[in-house]
Amino acid sequence: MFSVRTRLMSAIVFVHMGLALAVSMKAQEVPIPILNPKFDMDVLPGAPGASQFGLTGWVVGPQSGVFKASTTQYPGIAPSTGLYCAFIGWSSSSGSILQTLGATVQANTTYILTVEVGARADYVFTGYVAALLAGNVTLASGHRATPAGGTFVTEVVVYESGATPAQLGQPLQILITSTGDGQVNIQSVALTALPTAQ
Amino acid sequence: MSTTQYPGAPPPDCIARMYCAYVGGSPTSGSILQTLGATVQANTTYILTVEVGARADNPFTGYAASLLAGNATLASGHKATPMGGTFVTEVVVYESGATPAQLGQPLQILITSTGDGQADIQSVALTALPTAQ
Repeated sequence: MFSVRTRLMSAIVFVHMGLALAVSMKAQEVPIPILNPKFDMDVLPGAPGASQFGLTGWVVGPQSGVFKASTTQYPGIAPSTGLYCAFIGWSSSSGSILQTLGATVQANTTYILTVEVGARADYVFTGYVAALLAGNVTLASGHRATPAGGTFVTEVVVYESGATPAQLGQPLQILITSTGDGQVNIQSVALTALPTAQ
Repeated sequence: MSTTQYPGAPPPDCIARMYCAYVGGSPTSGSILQTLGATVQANTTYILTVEVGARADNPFTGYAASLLAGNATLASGHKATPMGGTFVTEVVVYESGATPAQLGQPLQILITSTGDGQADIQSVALTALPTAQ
C-alpha cells in the first residue's frame, strides 16, 4: 500500500515539481475519516468464528456483517482472540457494505482508497468490487486482489478528480460488494486525499 | 416495551405506549446512527440529550452517545448509569469554536452499546446555541 502511494507521489513530483517537494507532498496527504474502518466497533463476545449481521457505521446489504474470524479461516493471521473483519456475501446471496463520508469531492485532488481483501481458508472466494462513489455515481473501482485462501491482499483504487469533476461537492462514498456466491472478508478500509499539482 | 422491562411505564393498553430503541444484546453489541440535515457551524454550542434506560429484566453493560461530523467524533458521553427499570438523561456538549475542523459537514448522532448487555434509548434531541464571541 505504502509503496504504491510512494510511486504515485513520486511520479507527480518528478513530472511537475521535482524531487525536492516530495516531503511536502507527503505531508499534504489527508486521511478522510471513516466510521468503523477496521470493523472492530461491534463486539462479539463469543468464541472466534462468530458473526452477526450488521456493521456499525455501514449500510449493509444481504448476507453482510461483522465477523470475528478464527485460525480456521485465517491460519497464522488470526490471533487466538479472533480477527475482526467484515463478511460480505454467502451462498444464498452476494452482499455489500456502503458508507457515505463527510468529505466531499474536491477539484484537483487524488483520492486513494485502500482495502484489505481476504479469502477464508474454509469457504470459497468468488470475487469482489471495491468502489469510490459520489452522488451514487462510481468514480473509480477495483477488483484486482486475488487472495489465496486464508490470506489478505491489499487493493488500491485511485481516483483523480481533475479540474472540474462532475460530482464536485458531493459526499464521497465507499461501496464494497461481493460477486458470485462466495464470501469476501474486509479487514480494513482507508481513504486519503492528495492535492494534485496543477 | 412493557411493564416487565420498565415497571413504572404506562400499561400496554394505554394510548401512550412507550416505544424505545434497543441497542445490543447477548449475541453482540449494537448501534444506531443518524446523519442529520444540519451541518457544523462555527461559534455554536451543540447540546445532545439522550434518555438512556436499563431494562429490569436484562443486563445493562454500558453505552456511548456521540456527536459526530464527517465520521469524526466531536464529543461523546457515557455517564448515565440507570438502575434496572429506569431511564436517566445523558447530556453531551460540543462547542465548535471559531474554526471547527468539520465546518460545514453534516452532524451525526451515534449511540452504541458496550459489552453484551442492552441499552434502551427513549428519546434523542439535539439543539444548537450561538456561542457568545
